[in-house]
Amino acid sequence: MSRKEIYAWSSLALTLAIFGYYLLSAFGIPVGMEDYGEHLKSLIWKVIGVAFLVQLVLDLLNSSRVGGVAKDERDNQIESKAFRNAYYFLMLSVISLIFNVLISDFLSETSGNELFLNVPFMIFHVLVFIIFIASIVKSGTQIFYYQRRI
Amino acid sequence: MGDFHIENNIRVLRFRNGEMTQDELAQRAGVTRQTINAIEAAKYSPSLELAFKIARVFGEPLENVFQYNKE
Repeated sequence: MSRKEIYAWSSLALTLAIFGYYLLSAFGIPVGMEDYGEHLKSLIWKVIGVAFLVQLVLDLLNSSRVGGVAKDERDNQIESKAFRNAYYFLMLSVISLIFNVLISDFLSETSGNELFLNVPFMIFHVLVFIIFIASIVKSGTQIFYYQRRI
Repeated sequence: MGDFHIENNIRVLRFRNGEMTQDELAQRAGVTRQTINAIEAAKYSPSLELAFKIARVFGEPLENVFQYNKE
């Protein structure tokens, strides 16, 4: 496994853990899982800690140039594909969100009912979801191509 | 008309050059071992610059290392 692949795995773990922590903080512990709340939080902190340490060690190795080349043309090619996919997802999601807001606004005015996206802070949460998922798409694409050994 | 793809003789050339390891070739070409592995398995087509670097490591002309053949 190359350093960039390890970096992609740790980046994915870190994003998922932070996303999980955000979900728990914003929406609380899921119904039926109240007993496991503390375990869940402790697990998330452990994942964040380990992923952070792995990235720190990799950064130190890369800066000291120990153990050969850290990144080459294949890594750059895979990274650019990952950024492309994340960008497509981000743009598509943001455009869909804008249309949803416009439609929700129009429907709220005509029907008088408050719709999902008109709930305060819901657009903020959806935007945060989109950013997290775009980051997951980036790391996921990198891992996919590394696993296929292209 | 069939598709063309890039084949290579890197494995043969490595063994002819004192059983050079993928890691050694990677260091001399300035890439990671995983990239050499992917090129050798014909799963990744290197840039022209990297192809020349690999050929230079073996002291061979480019066409002795890489071939562009019909499948």
